[in-house]
Amino acid sequence: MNPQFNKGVIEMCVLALVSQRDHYGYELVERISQKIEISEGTIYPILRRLTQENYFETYLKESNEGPPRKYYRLTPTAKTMTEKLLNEWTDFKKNVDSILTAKEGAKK
Amino acid sequence: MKKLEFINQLRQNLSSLPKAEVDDIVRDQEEYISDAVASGRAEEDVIARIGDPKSLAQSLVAQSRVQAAQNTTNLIPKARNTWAAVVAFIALAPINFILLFPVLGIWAAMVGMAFAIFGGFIGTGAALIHYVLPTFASSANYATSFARLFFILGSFAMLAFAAGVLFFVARAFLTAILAYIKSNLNLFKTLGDGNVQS
Repeated sequence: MNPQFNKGVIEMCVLALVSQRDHYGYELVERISQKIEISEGTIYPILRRLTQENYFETYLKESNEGPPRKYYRLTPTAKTMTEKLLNEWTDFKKNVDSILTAKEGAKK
Repeated sequence: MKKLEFINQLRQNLSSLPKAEVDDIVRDQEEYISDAVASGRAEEDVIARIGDPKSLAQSLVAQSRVQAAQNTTNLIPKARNTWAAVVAFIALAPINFILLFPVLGIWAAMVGMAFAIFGGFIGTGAALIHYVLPTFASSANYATSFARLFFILGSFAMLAFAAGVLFFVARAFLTAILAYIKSNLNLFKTLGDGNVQS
């Protein structure tokens, strides 16, 4: 993926996934890297920062596979902000698409 | 690289952070590696894809320091955390070295001004005690004595004003550095972490 597209988008994907339901770290990386090529070290600093900035609260839950997993959950304030962000993105994407696919007469 | 070596290197490069934070980060990484291995991947492969433990640690340190500096309004801890963030930021990518010139230059100028103001207070205070106050006792010329006293008080007021301005300028300066590092950290995280080109 063109690195210029990357800034902020990965963070938005993380917020969007966690807003659907609580996730743990590996799960998030798996779901994002299925669609977007990222280095696996990319997500963790984002998770940590969003937690420090009170977007996320975390809790531990036992797992069958190994150590307990840390789950990330959106705080109520972050929930509202994320909804707003995703709406803005949808509008933005629609407008960009309409510019990219605009047909203005024949190609010169 | 095996897990033990990865965790050791991570710990080593995080050592400037509080122990509880280091333990938390290490815990998270162990969870991550264990989840990846449970999904059927080789440990070495997972660790290679996470990337260099040193640069992961440095970006976490820089980020944590920026956060700590932004969370306090107290000038001294704010300055200390900003400095730690600048150091970690430079360690992250040598090109960030250029940030050092304006930071050190402006910082040195502000420290110089702080000393000048401090010296001004001492000098004015000494003048008040040794030169102005005795004239009230010894001379009958109160008009001159009062004129001198008001001159001294005026100097104090100007120095206090300069100190106040300097305080706000210093805080704005720290805020600007932090904002700069933060926006570049975000950029770096998504661009630079891709050291693994496999």
